[in-house]
Amino acid sequence: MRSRTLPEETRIRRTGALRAIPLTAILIGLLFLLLTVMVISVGVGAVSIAPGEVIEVISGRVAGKPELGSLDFIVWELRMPRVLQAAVVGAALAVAGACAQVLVRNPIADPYVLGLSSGAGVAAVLVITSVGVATFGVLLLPVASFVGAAATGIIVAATATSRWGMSAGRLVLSGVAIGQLLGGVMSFLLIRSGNSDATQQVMFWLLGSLAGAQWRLLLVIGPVIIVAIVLVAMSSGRLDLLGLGDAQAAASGVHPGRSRVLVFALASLMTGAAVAVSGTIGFVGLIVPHIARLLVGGMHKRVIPVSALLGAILLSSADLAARTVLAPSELPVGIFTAAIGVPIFILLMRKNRAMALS
Amino acid sequence: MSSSHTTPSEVAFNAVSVNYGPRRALDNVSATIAAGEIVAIVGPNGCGKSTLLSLLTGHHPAFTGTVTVDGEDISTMRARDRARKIGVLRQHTGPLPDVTVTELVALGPQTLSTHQVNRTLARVGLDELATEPVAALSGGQLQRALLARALRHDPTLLVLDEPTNHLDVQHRFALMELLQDLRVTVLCALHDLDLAIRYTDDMLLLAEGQLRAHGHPDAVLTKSRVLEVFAIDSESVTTAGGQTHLLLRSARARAAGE
Repeated sequence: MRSRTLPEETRIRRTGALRAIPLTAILIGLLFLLLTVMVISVGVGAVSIAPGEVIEVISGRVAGKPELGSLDFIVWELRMPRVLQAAVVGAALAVAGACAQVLVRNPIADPYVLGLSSGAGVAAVLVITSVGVATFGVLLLPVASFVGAAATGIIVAATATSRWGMSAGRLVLSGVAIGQLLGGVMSFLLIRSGNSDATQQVMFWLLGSLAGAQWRLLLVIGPVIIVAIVLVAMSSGRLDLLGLGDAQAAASGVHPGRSRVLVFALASLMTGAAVAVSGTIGFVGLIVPHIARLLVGGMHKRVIPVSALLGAILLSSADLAARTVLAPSELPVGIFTAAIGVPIFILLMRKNRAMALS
Repeated sequence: MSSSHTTPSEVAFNAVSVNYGPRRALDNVSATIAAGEIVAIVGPNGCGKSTLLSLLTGHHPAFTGTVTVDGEDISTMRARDRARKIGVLRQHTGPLPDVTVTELVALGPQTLSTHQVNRTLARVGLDELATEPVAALSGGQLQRALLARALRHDPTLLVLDEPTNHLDVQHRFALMELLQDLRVTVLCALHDLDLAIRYTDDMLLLAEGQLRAHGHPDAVLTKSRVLEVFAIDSESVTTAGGQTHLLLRSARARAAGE
């Protein structure tokens, strides 16, 4: 068979803007950018600390020879947990978003269409209205949120799964339906409590915040999230096939229903861990996977690691902005994930000619 | 055009039935497909063509009876082995991923060398478009890219659901000739009866889930059977060159005395 070539104006050599650059180089570049944002972020606050001093304190700690003092306390105990939490939560939401978009084969999906965040929300409201965050709720809130997310994940998975495995259509509908139901439950609990303090705390939780960061929580969710991201990256071949549709996946020797259960479990774990410590931070999970695809094309062995780093960078930068724009008061980080992410996304989308055709 | 080095597969359907709720999609279908034949599966919409083919693809409804390929029961075959042995082209539905033609052919758990991908793309005439994003392809080019995916592991059996969809006349013939050159067993759902007569050795005619006829296309597509199954008037014409064609006209056209 001979082909006629495409007319000149629709000829496109590659879809991703950075496709010609080796993946390793892109990842090293992004990692450098992330570390830069993190160092700046640690230095910014009521006491401003120069990047050199930040690096000194951190390297002293990493080498096991901390120079204890107020500088060490501010950098290591106060600001580092928050900056690291921004990075891991950003990475988790971005990778979970990439998974969700493949799971339901829909570009407007994010981790929250799976319904888990509403389950976490109900649990959070129960803790806030009945116990109150002030007492031992500091630890109880994340634990309860994770349990709420996990329980919801199991209910959604059970609803979406038949003996053929999990289907994309059922998953998005059960995720959205159960999410809406739990959202209603959450509102009911909140209104019934009549507690305006609690309402405000819940609002803060819903908008997402990194203010509660602490080492003991980070040391639990950090490893969970990193392991989950590595497992997702190792499943990138399955993700590619699920994105092509169940018939293609099956014909290529991959069971679509079972693969979807695996990816769903990993995405749920990441979302649950992220929401437990940071509430429902919006937009990272929706937009970062798209930015990654626009940069490096749609193959998941590139999309997943690039999304993880971009998500970490976006949430770290957004948190930096949230803390500095109206300092000393702090704004919800969700405002800035959108404010930083949307212009980048629009710029890349406008430049991408393949997207103009699809 | 390179041919496969392995021997083509033999396929057997033994008393296969599929129920979609109360509706019987396949009703006790038994047929044996000889190695190396190009077999057309024809019949009206909803007759069970796609369902029958799906049994070989790993993505199918529950069924009773057995399906064997080279004597091996398809339901106990390892998925990876099945995927290497059986190349599948089905209708693409849903959004296309943001990948190039080369990536579309290569993607999946088994890695493919660039050489293998390029050779497969050359077979379907898409080598010049290897680095294009799939979103930029026409319907026919996409169909050929998906055919390349089906061919990438040099299968011994090809299962094609309406492969000529979206293809222009030139590429329809080219596709059927490519299938002849491959020297593998081909099971192919076709709507174009004339194309089926011209290029296939064997034909299964399905109607309402039942196998109505199985044999040489000339013998299967008799005037009375075509009228009964498709409600279409037909006439078999042999040209001076000895080529048989099937002329079709609708019942309304016949009533109008055309």
